[in-house]
Amino acid sequence: MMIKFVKGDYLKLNLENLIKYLSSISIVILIAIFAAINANFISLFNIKNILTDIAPLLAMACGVTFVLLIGSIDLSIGSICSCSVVLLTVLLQKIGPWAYLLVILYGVFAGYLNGFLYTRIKVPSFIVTLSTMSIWQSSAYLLSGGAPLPMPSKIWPLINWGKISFGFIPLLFIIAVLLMAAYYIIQSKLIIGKTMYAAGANERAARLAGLNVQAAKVAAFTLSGLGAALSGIIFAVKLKSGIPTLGEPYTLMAIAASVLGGTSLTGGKGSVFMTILGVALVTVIQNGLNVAAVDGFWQQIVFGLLVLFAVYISADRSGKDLVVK
Amino acid sequence: MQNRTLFKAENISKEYPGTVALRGINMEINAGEVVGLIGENGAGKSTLLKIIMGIEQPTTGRMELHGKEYAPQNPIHANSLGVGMVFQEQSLIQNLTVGQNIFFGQEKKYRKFGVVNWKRMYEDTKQALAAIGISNVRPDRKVSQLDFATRQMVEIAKVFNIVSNASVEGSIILLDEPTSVLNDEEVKQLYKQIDKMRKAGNAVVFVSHRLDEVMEISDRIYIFKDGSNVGIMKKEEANEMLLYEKMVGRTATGEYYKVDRQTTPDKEVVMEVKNLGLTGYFMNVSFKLHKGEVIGICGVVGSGKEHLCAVICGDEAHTAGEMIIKGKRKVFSDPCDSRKSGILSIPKERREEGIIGSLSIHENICLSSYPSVKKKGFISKKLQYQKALEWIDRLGIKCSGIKERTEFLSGGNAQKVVFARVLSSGADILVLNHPTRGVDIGAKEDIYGIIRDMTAAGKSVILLGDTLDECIGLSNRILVMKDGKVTKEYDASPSNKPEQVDIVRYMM
Repeated sequence: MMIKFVKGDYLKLNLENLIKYLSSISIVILIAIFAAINANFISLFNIKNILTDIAPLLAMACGVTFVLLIGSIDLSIGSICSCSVVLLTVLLQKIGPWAYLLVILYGVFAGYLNGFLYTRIKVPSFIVTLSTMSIWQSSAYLLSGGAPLPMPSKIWPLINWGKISFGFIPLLFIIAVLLMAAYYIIQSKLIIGKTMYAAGANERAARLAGLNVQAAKVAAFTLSGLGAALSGIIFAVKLKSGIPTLGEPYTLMAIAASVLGGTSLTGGKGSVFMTILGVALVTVIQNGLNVAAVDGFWQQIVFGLLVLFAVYISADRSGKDLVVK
Repeated sequence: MQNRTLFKAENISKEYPGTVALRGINMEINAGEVVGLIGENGAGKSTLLKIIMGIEQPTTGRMELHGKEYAPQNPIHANSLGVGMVFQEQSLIQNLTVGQNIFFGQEKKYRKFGVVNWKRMYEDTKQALAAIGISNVRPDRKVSQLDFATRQMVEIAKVFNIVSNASVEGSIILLDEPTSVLNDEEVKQLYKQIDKMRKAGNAVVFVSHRLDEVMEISDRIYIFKDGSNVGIMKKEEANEMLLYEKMVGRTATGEYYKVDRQTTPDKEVVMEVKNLGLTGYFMNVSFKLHKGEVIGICGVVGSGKEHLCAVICGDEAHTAGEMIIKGKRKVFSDPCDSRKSGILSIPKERREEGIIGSLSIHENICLSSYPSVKKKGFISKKLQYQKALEWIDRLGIKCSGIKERTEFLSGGNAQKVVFARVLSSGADILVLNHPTRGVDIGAKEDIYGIIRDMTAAGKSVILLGDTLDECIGLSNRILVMKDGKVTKEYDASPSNKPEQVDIVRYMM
């Protein structure tokens, strides 16, 4: 890794390095603190718990990382997740295992819709996804009748695989990691992924270089929708219940995780691979707060502050900052 | 009043990373004088104006105003000392009214209990407009409802008003290409105002690329070339030929542009445009581009050449006529489409359009040709590195390694990265939009060599030269554009290069 220092750039580079290692360092520190508060924190049982908790957030955060890479934002991931949870609960009862495929297709469609609206109607992404967020949230309420849908025991055989684990590594976690690996390949080995970096860093230059910027944008949103739907599946299988409000708080957490993993909100910088560190950090904080018996409402305040902090230290304040497209 | 020195600049230089914009400029401006400033694009005119306005700080040298040290920190500071500037790109805020624009930043004067007294402001606006002879513009009209010429007059009124408020004896007004959007009548009106300013003991610096205008209005003319002052002429001594000669120098040497290596184009037509047009920008453009040929397009800013270029490289879709690439009719709406037809461009604004600064050199070189660095369907880092190393070597790009971020390269080296990207993509029709803009002399020569290599290898080029000289030196054929139409076509084979003066006649 070569870093060329330019006059006046020291501070910025130091901040850049800080965010790069921030997640890893913080995780170690936090684990130490929480372990000191409650020794159970580093028990195998709790590690398995944490890995199970990481799984859905990892799927969602990997997806939204692509959207951040192109310099946009996706606020609808939480409600796509909620809608997927409810949809799976309903469909499993009606059509059996095909439900999984349909929910995944739903995620792809919802993500594609965001991308289509964003690139064709040329509305800022936060407006597009704020609107679709509302649409999918309401759809989840309508599907579930407004209350959590329990999964009847007759479909348990279809979801019991969620309990499988290899030692202290749960299958759900492995699925999320496989998604991450696939996304990593898209990001670094496919033209569409390279186009996302280029378009996020300098859209005009990427366009004039003959890259298909529009396709890359649609792909980023589609992959984000897919990640969100997969996180919904993981949640549903884990909780055995179709809770229509489930995904809501995770929008912020997924974006926080991605930014803590070093992805820039202005686009062009970051990696799906680093996102797992951000996810681990967010989950460790959440789990630690649980173990330390901190009130759930306080936890949301902590995550709100965390996002502000992460964005503060990662933002490039040299002028044309925070252009969310 | 005459001959009192208002402003003095001594040994002003300005260096940017990689290039020198101004070298040791000395200038003296007397009260009651209009000073013309001419030079080609990139000669340093705008840089000097920016330094006088405090937008840029000089690397060396000092300035004096009214015999006192003058070192403006920003335009507002300069305004307060009695120096104002009308910018080339209009700086009015479109959704505010004329009055709000003219008194922008001075609302305090009209404030009472926190509320602005618009009526009083608009009355003053009328006076400010009347001071430069305008009576048909209502102060409460929004700027967006005015045509360009009127906007220009409002802008001038704004600046006149600001500097006349500076309460100093004799202010300086800088006009950067003020006439480019005005018609003859309006230009006359402007001259009248300039004359008034002059008689009142102020000084005006007038920058224009229209030599006849400069000669008509100026008392003295400064001629800039490549950042140096190459001559000062009195109005009486100047004529168009003489000015032009000084402005372009005698650099039209074949050696510099490697004219001996100019190839004779093939018979094969790779691209043909027939009656091509883009509503509002250009129309009825027809030409045939042959294999290995360089067609230079000359014209002033606004002649339509930039948009012609944008249409060919797919940035905009044409609205009339047709474009035939290698025998097939095409309409491009995205540069991605034109790339697939083998057309790529080297854009004008390198930092904004050419390179992706935060990505490394090897990624930038591969941007337009990712399919060629794939192995079994996946992009291979190894192939990327190989390709980058090969092109860094071929074009002599100076860098500390292929992973260096492109934004850290100097102008010339960054431009070579853009060339490497375009050349390595296999495109065979290249649109070069100011390919040597802002690069130093050494890199310029390298780039000329690269262009000769390209045509020798059978690639065809459409060139928008950074200077006229460059366009003539490099091209096989030259199209001259004016007001959206092709006004003249020249053959420019090595033994038959047209003269700049002749071309300029059809440009302006």
